[in-house]
Amino acid sequence: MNKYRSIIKADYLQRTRSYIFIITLLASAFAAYSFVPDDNAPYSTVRIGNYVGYNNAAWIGHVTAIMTSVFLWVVGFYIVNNGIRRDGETGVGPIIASTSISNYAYLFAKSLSNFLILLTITGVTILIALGLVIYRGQEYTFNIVQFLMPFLLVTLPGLFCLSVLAVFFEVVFGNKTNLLNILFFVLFLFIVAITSASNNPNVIWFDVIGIKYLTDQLALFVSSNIPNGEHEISVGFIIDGSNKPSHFLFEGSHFSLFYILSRLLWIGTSLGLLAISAKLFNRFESKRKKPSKTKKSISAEALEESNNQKIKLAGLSKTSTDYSILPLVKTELKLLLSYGPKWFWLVNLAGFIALLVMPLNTAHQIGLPVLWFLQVNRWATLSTKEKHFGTGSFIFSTYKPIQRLLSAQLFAGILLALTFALPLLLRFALVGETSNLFEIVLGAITLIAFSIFSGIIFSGKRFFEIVFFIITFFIIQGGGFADYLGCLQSGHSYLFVQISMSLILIFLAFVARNLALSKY
Amino acid sequence: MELQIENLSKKYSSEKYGLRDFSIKLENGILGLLGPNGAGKSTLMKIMATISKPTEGTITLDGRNVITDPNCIRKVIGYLPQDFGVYPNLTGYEFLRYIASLKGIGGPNLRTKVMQLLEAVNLTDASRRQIGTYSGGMKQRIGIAQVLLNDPKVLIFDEPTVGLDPHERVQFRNLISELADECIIILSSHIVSDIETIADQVAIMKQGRLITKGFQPDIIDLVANKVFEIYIDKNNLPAFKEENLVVNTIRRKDNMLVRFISEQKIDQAVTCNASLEDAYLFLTKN
Repeated sequence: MNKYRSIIKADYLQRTRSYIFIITLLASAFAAYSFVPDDNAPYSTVRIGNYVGYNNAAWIGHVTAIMTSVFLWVVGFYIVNNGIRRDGETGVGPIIASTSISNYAYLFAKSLSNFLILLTITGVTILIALGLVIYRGQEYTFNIVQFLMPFLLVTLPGLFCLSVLAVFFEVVFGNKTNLLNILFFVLFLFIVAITSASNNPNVIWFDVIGIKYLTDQLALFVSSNIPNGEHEISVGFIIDGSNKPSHFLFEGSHFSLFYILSRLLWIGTSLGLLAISAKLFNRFESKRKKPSKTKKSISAEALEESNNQKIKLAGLSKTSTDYSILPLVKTELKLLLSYGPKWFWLVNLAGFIALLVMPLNTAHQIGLPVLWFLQVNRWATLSTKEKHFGTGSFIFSTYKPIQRLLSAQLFAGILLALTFALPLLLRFALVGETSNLFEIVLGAITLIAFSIFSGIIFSGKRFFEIVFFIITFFIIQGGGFADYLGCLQSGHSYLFVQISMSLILIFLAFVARNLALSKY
Repeated sequence: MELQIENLSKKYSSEKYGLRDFSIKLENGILGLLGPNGAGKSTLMKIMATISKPTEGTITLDGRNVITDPNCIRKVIGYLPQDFGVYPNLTGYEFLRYIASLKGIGGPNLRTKVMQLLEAVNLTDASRRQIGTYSGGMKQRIGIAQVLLNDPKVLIFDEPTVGLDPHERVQFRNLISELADECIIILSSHIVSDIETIADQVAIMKQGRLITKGFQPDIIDLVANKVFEIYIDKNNLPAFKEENLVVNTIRRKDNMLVRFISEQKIDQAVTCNASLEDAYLFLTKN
């Protein structure tokens, strides 16, 4: 048991002692606060037809548990999916591999560490929810069972499965982070689609997130207590507009044995998945692409020959100075293009064609954000690769590194983003919608400037990956507040907002790089 | 060219210094930096390479302040860091072209020059292979090649021979010798023999301070007639170490041959020719 405790503790401390984790906790606290809107808020989060519950312990517990489950499934994976990779990168991995710990024990400890991280975030949301019961409570019976049970039976098992899934993905896909992130994105959309599309109660067996049962219980409660009420359930940040919801007094759900068994089954399945991962885990054995040339033993004659061999520096060709950034843009572009597996370009090609054939608005609101999201790791490496690959010392001792290199990275990123958007740009040009053209160009600038800025500030890709995932998810869902592409909002005032946002982010990127260099 | 460092300090906290009141004047030739781990060699080199800023002091290159105007030295500097990485997806040739662009090097001869440098470091055959497939020594040689791209006048090598095999180390020494007439070269190493073979002058550092600087014979003179060898019983070695500064021990069949530094000659000890390593250990251990 000690070995588990040591690994979990070390891993947990390593991850939580970072700015990104503090920011995640603050964001989680804010998110938890927004999960329970007050009566005057222009939105609701969980709504059954035209009804929402009075803010009592049962309602707040259910709403927060549902929203936390979805929120943490959206972002939690991206928070915890680097535990094994980091051991490899830091060189701790091979040391662990040389100890007697079994694959299963190591991966189980990693899963528990992932779970502990997610549990910490859940703990923050529970505390905020508890505060909201007191602060926004409209009905003063405090039913602690109905407040906590949704977390215990829905959120926690779901997060345990997510923790194991993150380990499984890391074991299977290793350093192919692009593929790993995208496949999870697809898997998540698939789970959401099948559980929200079907009314069959057996679908809960497929609902690893676990919210289907809770939403069904809410709908059942409304249909049982309000005979003529609609009971179609909506989850998310739903803008109410003038359609303010009515209220009902929610008393809680009945958690059937059937449901509890389904949650236990998912935990069992996760442990099975962990066993498969243990079989597949390579214990940090790295594969070299090609063997380098074999070193021969050095004879005395060879050494003598080396001593006599002179490198003719005087004969080196004379070069001239060239401070233009075009060669840098070219190489940055090449580095961007070389990222990820070659076959992934087939997926990009499919996305490119989809932008040509999809209905124009769908291509703008769904096609392009998804295609750009598929390149998440490409964008994320723009300003982080110097640190990741350790080239910073070379690069930042060269002539005007900030002005020249950062500008080149911006140009290269924007150029590639616009190349991906080319079909859509052409279609908007053909129909004469120039404002949409500008909005996409500004969207590309905003995206690239944000990726560079966040990469420098947080010294890594994680923050950008998480935020970009959330933004893309909300754009697809129709959330106007995340609309960096102008696909949901338009007009001169919004164009002004986009221009300001791009300029501010570019300015911040330069300031951040300058600051980072002064602290090098 | 003249590089002058005056009262340079790098302070990390109120108690912790990376570099302390360091002053030195350099002209064309090779300066070898010696010092134990944490002596401040890399900190000094990073500041000279403009990727780190000092908390106090100045560096001037031909009278121009490098701290306030780092771009004046960046045009003429070649820097090989102690720990560096490369982009594994680029070939050796592409990587050098990339660094050339960053250094502001261009023109019609750039391709030829890159190929010449690859040949100089024995990487012509591997020039079209991705660097991800290179061995540690090959990566180190790519690092050395990039140093020379811009015809540098100030060369800074931080532990340049790490990862090189004996053959490659000899080649590197030849390269440095050729450059020394026209450039200021500063190189650090843990391997005293490397410095002994390459450097004209030696600077020894300890705990961020410069202990001594001078030509090799002058530094070796500090321990002249103080280096001895003696055969002692294995069991007596711990006690002997407590009383004398032991620089080397060699196991023999029945006893041990111990090389040590002492102000006074001991009975049965034989006086030896002092080396740079003896002087270095004497200065850093005392």
